[in-house]
Amino acid sequence: MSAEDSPLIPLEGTEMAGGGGGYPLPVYLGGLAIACLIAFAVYSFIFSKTHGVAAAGPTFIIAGPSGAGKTALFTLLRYGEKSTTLPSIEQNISTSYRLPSLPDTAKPFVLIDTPGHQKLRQSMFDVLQVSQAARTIHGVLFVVDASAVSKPEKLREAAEYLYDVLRVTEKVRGGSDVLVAANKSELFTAVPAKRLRTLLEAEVQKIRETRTKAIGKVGLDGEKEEEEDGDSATVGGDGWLGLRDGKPFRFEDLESDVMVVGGSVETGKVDDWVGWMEERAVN
Amino acid sequence: MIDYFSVFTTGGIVLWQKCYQPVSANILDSLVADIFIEDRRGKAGSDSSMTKDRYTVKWTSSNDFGIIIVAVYQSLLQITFIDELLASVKKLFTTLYADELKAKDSDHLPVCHFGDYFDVRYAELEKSTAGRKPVSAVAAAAAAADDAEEDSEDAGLKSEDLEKDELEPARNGAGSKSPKPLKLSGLAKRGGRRGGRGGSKSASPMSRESSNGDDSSKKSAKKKLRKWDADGTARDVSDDEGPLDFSASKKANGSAPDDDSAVNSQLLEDADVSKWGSKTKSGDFVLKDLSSEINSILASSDEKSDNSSGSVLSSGFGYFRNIIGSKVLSEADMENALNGMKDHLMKKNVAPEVAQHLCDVVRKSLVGTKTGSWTSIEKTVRVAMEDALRKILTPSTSVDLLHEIQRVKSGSSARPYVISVVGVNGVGKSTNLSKIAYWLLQNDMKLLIAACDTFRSGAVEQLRVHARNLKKLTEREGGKIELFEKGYGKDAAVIARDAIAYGNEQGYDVVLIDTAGRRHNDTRLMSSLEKFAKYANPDKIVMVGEALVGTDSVQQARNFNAAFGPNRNLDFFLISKCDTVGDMIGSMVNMTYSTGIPVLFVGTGQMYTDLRTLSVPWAVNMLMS
Repeated sequence: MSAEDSPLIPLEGTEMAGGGGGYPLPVYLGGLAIACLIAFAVYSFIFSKTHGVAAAGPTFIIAGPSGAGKTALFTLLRYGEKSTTLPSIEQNISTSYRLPSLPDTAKPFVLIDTPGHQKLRQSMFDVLQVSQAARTIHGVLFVVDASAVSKPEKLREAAEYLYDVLRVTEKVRGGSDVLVAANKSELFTAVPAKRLRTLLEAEVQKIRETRTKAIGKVGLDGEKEEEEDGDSATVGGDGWLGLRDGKPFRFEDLESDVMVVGGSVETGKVDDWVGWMEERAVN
Repeated sequence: MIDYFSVFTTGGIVLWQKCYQPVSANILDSLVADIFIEDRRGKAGSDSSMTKDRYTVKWTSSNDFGIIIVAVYQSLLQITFIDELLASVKKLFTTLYADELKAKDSDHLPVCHFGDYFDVRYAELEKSTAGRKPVSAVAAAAAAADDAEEDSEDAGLKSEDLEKDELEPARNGAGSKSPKPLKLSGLAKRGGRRGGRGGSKSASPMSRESSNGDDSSKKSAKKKLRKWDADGTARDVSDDEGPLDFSASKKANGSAPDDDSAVNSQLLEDADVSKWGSKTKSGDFVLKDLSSEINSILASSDEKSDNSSGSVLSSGFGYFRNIIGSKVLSEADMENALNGMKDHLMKKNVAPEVAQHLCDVVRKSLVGTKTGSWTSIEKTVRVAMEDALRKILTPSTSVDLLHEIQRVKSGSSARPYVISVVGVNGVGKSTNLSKIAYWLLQNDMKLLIAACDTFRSGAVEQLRVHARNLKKLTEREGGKIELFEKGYGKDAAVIARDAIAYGNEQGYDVVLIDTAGRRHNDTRLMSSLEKFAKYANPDKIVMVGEALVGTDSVQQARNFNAAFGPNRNLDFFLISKCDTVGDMIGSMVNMTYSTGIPVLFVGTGQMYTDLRTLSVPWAVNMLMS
């Protein structure tokens, strides 16, 4: 390349010097400025493509209600240490997350920790939808505080959020894998993973009952029907999730693979979750 | 004094924190959520402080680094230097750890050993204010004792406690006297303050001295400052000359004629020496270096911010940057876009107060950030505004009425679920009540409608017509609805209570209570709502507000929200007549902004079926179109 390049430069130079007689200097300066501008523009345009992080590479998303331990899990996975945390206001994004078992040469993962507060969940759905559309999603880690679900309202909150997540993951053919990470298992009040699974299933069952009967959303009258004939048979526009066979809701009915696995960020017991991610990583 | 101080990222990762008093994690979480997510800062709350329960929170943030700095302390205390402390911590933190913070996606958490810096700065500020503010002797003593404890803990010098305790009375004496000589002259004033500080108390005398030196030589170059530093230390060790130089002059200027302070300084000197004995030499060096470093950082960032303003070249370049993007936003850049946005919102019926607040939120969230590539300022502001609107309109807890009714119905103590509607005259309370009733009837609920508008003639009859219609509509599907009425002129609260009792007896699922319309600024009418809330104790109080009303909706929502007594609020809004305003749905924003209570339902027409739940994306679209 360099051999080819080097004769070019003087050539250009001479041409410019030769033609220079016809035009005043400002024209050249202006041309140069425009050239620089274009170069910069092209550069920044390419750079801007990396902004759609979730679409850029294989992605894992951490979701879940507030106070479940998402950000602590994020720092534990990414930096190997658990950070003290306060409620997140924005996402934490890492574009170079490497799973321990994979070789260093493998493409790093995008790990996104999303805020759990109800008012900020939209950002999580945006990211999820983007990554599903780009087929970069490898899994959703839905973190739940297993010690809090003994309170009905906490269980309800977790189930409602999970329900909304599943409604999005079911939209694509084959679904996306969801790991319900039952965090804080070190606590005395923590519910074991199996029990959490039945609790969540029962709650999702209730939610889909009431959601179906709920009043429709304003401004979306026309879209309801469109949604209904989506790809997947397991999610209807009316909020129905799972099979319409009159049986109680089960996670198995979904196209997405939903697993409930216990663990604890506090004590560093996250191997099972990492294992789950590694399984999904190779797909 | 301060219970909790912390620096954390917007992502929620705590970079550095200091806990003086244990504050439960729940409280901290809810404080952060209230302030930064729900934006509930109280009416009187400025944009940098909030008081909740017994805590006061002050904060500052740096958008370009994505960090937030908060200080939490007991509301009882008046800490005058908090703002200064926050500002200087922000400067220090962003200067010291700029690389760590800017490094996107490094392989470790940003490491911030900020503790020493903070302690030094904290002590400095505390001293500078101790002389300034008129503190009662008791309070001062308490504070001094507090700090003595803390600092001695920090230095690991438990043995010194005794000495300090001895010192305290003397310190307090000097502390309360020192404000007097402040009125001397410019220079003396400075010194006087120092004197006050020195006298008031000192847990770490070395830091005090160094701070004195730094402050007095602040105007001179940095280098000189450092030079003195080394000199001072050297002399410190050999004899008393170094520290005395400064303390002597300052004492001469300040509380000079006071024998008290002379003794005091003597005592301090002793404490000083003993500190030397127990503390490693290197440790002391660190302390001194820090203090000067802090001051140089604070001074330098001042210069920087001065330099950055106004240059023809940069403004010309800024124009291109606006097109290409990647421009660091300043307040001035956004002014135009924000003004346009404000006008736009006000055209959509958003109250000026609310529009201004939204613009402030956007300005705050954007200043110091970079625009994305190929994104103009206008676009950036627009996106941020959409976010702000979405944040306001999205409820912070989801309301699933059917689920709650089921729960109450099937609970251990089964009782009817009580929903009551309130609102200004003629907004459509009865109409929307019957719309809700229709929906509940569709879901096989047994309904009792209580006619508690005992004031306006025809109100009961109106409800009777609704009840009859609904009965006819749903009879075939087995709907059950009945009207509970007691005529006119009776007390609404009593009727409501009777209705609920009746409903309970007869096994109704839901009792819907209609109330009389009332003007929100009529205290006589509004005051009866408190009694109503107490007697009827509804599960849900719905305020019906019309989309047609403009700026007044802010006050309506506020007054109704406050009318039910200190322990009861509205639960959600129902915005009626949305079909009549097109996209001018600003009242929704007004009402949610002023109370933090979500809009659940939207009335969109004249039919029983014309009730919808609010879709936030729809509302945001409407408002931004």
